[in-house]
Amino acid sequence: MKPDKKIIDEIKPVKNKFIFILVTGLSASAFTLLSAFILSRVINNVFLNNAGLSDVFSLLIIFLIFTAAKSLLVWLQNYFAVELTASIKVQLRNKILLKLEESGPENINSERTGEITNTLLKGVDKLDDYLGKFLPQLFLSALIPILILIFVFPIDLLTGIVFIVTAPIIPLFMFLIGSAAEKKNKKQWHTLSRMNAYFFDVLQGIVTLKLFNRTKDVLIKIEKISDVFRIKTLAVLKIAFISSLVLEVASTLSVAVIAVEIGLRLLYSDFPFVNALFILIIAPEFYLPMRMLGASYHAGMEGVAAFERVADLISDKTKSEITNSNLSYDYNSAANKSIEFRNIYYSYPGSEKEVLKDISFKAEQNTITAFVGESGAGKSTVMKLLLRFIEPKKGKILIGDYDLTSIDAKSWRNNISWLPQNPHLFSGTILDNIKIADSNADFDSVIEAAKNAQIHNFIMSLPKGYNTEIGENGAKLSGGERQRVALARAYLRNSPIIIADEPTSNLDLFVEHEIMNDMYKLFADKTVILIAHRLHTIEKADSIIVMRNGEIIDTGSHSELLKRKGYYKELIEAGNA
Amino acid sequence: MKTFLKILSLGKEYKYWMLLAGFLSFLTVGSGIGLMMTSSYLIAKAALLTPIYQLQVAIVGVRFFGISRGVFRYLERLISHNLTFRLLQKLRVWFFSSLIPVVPSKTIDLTSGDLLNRAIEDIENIEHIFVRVISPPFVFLASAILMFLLLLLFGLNYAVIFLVMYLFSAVSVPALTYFLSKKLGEEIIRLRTKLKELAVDGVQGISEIIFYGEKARWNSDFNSIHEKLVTAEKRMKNIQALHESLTGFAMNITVAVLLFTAIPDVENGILEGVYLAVITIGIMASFEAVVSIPQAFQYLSLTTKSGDKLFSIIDKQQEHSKADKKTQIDNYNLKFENVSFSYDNFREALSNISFEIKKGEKTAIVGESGAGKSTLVNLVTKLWNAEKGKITIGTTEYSDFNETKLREIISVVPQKVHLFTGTIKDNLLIAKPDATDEELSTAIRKAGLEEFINNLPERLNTNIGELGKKLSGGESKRLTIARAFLKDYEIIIFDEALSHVDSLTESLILDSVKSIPRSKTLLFITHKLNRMEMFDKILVIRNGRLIETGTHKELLEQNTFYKRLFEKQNNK
Repeated sequence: MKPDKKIIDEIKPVKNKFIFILVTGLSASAFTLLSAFILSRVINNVFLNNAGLSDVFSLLIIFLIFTAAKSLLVWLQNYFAVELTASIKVQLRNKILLKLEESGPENINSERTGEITNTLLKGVDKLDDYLGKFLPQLFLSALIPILILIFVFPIDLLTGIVFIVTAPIIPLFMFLIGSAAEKKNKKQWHTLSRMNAYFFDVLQGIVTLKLFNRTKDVLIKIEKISDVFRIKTLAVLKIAFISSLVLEVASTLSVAVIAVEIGLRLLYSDFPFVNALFILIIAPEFYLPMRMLGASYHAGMEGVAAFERVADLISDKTKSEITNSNLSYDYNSAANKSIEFRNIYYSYPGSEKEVLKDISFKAEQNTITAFVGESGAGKSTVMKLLLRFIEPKKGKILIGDYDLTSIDAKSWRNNISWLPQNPHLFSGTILDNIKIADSNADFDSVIEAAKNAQIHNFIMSLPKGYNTEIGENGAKLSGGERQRVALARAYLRNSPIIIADEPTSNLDLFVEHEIMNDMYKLFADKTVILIAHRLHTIEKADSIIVMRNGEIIDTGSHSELLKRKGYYKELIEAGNA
Repeated sequence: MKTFLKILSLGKEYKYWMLLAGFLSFLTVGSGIGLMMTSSYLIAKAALLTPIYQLQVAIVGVRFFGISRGVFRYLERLISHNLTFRLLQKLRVWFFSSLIPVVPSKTIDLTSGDLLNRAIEDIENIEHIFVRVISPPFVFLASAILMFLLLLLFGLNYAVIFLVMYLFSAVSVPALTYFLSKKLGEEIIRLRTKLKELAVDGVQGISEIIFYGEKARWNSDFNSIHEKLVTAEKRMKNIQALHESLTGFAMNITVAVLLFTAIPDVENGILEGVYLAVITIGIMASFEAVVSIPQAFQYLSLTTKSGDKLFSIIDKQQEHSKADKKTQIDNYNLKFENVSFSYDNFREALSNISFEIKKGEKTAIVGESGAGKSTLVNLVTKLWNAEKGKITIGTTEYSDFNETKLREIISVVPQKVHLFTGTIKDNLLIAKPDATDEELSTAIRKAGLEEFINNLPERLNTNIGELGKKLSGGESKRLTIARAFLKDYEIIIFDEALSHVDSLTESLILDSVKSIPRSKTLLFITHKLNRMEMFDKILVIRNGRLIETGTHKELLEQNTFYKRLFEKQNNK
């Protein structure tokens, strides 16, 4: 499990911290050795040289000082690890956010939003143990044994050799067993994901199961599946546990071998006791770093997997480029108030497919232009172009006499009220959510907008009125209520241009009718461009543009288009416009 | 603590396994102590040039402990993991069986994966309760006793000093970090929630953020909360890092204190010098059992938090009467008397509803979304109990009904279609596991699915999962209708069967509805007013109240809300 090259790139800017981790880790080990050295001396002097407490008092104090230094260094090592992970986490989160900004709203697939937030928060958190523990340990498990060998060799060659011979056995066995377990482990993941899929299925279907009196059978099945899972996992773990057995046996047995070997030499040669004791104390320390590496192996695996997801997100190539321009624009004071598309082509980044082909139309001031067509026809792409979430690949969008790309995006959007199909409500109060449309608005105008959107009474019925917190993405509101909040935003903004996507499926037909009626009131004396789904709306439009497969195939008023008996008529009859 | 005991009681039946695993874990630590003590005894004795035959026992001891430790560790791992998985299994079954009575509920959204993921995470936190929370203190106490007894061989004063220091180390370090991090923990949770809200807003609401020019503000909000969170997390981790560092220091202090006591004893000939090394090294080895104590405290709080979360889902359980006083049903007339219901005290979903549907009557229940129609279905099927008022079938009150018994006579086409992974047949058989082929094909025919199924490669044995999205909304809906028809029933309920289907499917479904035998009661919940003349009775619900009752014709003759709805839908 070599560290990913990309992760090394992430560490590079903060490599000093990484080095500090290694230095403090190594120094902590050095103080362990020194205190063991002192301790063996104390015991030796009392035991063999008849020294009294007063003779070894100062040594004992030094021992305490050294161990205190060791504890401090251990803490410092952790401190630097915490600093390192924190900076890398901030770095990665910033990169993810930047990426999201670069790829623009139109490239974030709505189905992926959960996954993205998850990677941004929990995914990055999962790197903690990998960066702070596993990676430094990877180095320390090589460096600390070397340090110990440097101490041991001058004292006792034979023990040094025992260390050198036993040391590689541990990683070797771990590797052999680890790779065998890993293969089995992959199969295991499959069982696990199938099991989770089953739980998911059952969970979603609980009501159905209840209604058909079938819950008992399901509990039995859950028990069975869990049992199969337990047996299969244990089969994998049995192998994995052998690696801990090997580790344990190798290190304890080495200690035993060294103890016996030294004991015999104490007897038969003039090997000094003080060195023997020292070696005995530090022998477990020699194997400790490798055992710790083994313990953080799991965290390492998890970290690598987590980093892969983060890296996938960051390396995503889609990029939307919005031309920077600084012309400020005010529709109300402009002389020419038409909005015109001239031969517009568009294809999404990374895709060859042209979603818009040669689109041209003109929307005059204070008229309603309705786009109709099946889903995927290109209607929402037209809206995105108008909102300047994307720029045309070819062709021109003319706002009166100006090219849209020459106008500052923010200043352009100030002329627009936007009613998206699924408005997002932000966490916070209802008041905040309406005021986002015009942060300078006073409370009275917010109330007026809410009244116009027919949501004032509802808001007042809530426990805290306008200051009610509405929960994550407006969780506490119904679909209709959310649409009305969006409508209130539009009323508050009171912009001359309206871009709207008529709400559909999620709303009850009656609720939808009422909302649409309130929407029409807003449309009065405004330049409206909207995607229409309902006959009601379509009929009221001044001009209807029929789209199919990225092209405009027909234009006209409702009655004109119906007379032609073409695709438009089909659409209307299918109720699917 | 209550939560902890509640969790613990779930694993009651494994107590002997727990004892065994704990004991093996103790033997592992004990072998470590044994290894180090015999080893130091060996070299100390050897330094005194003791004859080799006197050292044989020590050498055997060293070898024995050197091997036994690995073996004990292996066995302990195996048994404790087996235990963990058995606990996991137990927890899952417990969770599901406790969840079933609680759903459907307004507070639990089963359609999003969120609940499941949270539950899986929480269950995983709890499943380690034995290895991480219960075992360490057990091993610690057993090691304390072992070392106490061993040190007693050398002198009571050593044993007592050791015990005091040992207990102090195990308790003081976690206590200190707990004290230092108490408020910080709450702060971190608060900041995490806030950051998650911001992240969701920033990803899901990115279009709005850009449109309203709020990007810079969002960025600075996110960054400032993120910065606060990272700082708080850093402090938390630095506090937790004290565990390792202070436990190590406590060990060395214990060693030093004992040396201060023992060295004068050696001087005065009370203690043999040989044992100085044995005591010192034994103490060092015994601290292995202290190292995992602070972690156990941490996991204890994690486990109880996860437990609390799981219990909070499950404890929302309504009081479902298990009473089975009277299940003999004399007739199938369904009656609501002044029934009210509210999910959350926020708004009343149904207020003061009264009506009667006679056996065999075909009734439509009509209203806008949010009017209370689905609540009505949940009450009729006893997924929820009425808070006020009385529901009866014949002369039997709902509160006297056993849920299972009641559902034997009711069949439902639910609003939210749920098909299980498996074949079409599997899905149908849920309604009646022992259905004959003939019963199956009758149900399929009635649901207008005959042609569709005959065209499938493996007909009834076609796997729905493999079909993937090939099964359209309308087909799925009709499959649930076939399922409902397959079940034996006296009362059948269609909950919004016409929503999200095209007009062809709509008329197929209405044909199916028409084929329901005269003797069976039908409740047809809908907001689409199509072919309404086929119903004997129409109940109109608005804002939780029953406002109009009558036949289609009667209702259209007067100036009713129903009439307005009907005209609106037909664009008049």
